[in-house]
Amino acid sequence: MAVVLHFGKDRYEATAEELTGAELRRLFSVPSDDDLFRAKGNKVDGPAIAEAESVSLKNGDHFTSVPRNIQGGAR
Amino acid sequence: MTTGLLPRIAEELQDIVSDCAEAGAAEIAQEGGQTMIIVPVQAEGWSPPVVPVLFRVPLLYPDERPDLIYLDAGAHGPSGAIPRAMGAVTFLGRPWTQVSWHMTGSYDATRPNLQLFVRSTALYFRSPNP
Repeated sequence: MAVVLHFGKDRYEATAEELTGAELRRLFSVPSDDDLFRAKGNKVDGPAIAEAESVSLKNGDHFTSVPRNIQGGAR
Repeated sequence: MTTGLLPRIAEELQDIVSDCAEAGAAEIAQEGGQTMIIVPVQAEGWSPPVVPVLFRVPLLYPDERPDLIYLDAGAHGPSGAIPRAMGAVTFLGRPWTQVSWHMTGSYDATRPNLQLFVRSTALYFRSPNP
């Protein structure tokens, strides 16, 4: 049974209840320079999801991404 | 107020307002020709736990990248310090603490960079004190 996921304003269907970070990145077409995160609404929630990490999914889960090049310190 | 803004920027600001709705109401304002948005950001361990953060929309946005964040002057982190604080400034008649927070490296002006920059602020509030 498909699991309905949200990335930004878009809705996706995963074909399994557990995917790796890499599989999620491909599903959402996350830019290579971005980190992938779980989200509450569209807000970052929790640590960045590693490519090899196994992610348990349930209907309605939200994800978001943030470019890695946003940080403190010198430009 | 978003009068006079490019439709793309106005739409992006509204997306930011929607993003933060759970934490509170965002405020879009203009001062001296500069558009700003004040966003309530949930900041675990901080005082207050929801910190108003001001972002300036660059005059040449989206070609110019967003830069720096400004925390409500009354906010402080768990240790009492404000990581990467640069100094005090005044916008919209209120005091703010300017914080070093930047988009570095390559920049793709076709992305919603202001929205991404605002979203990244959650990572700032998790960062350890210097």
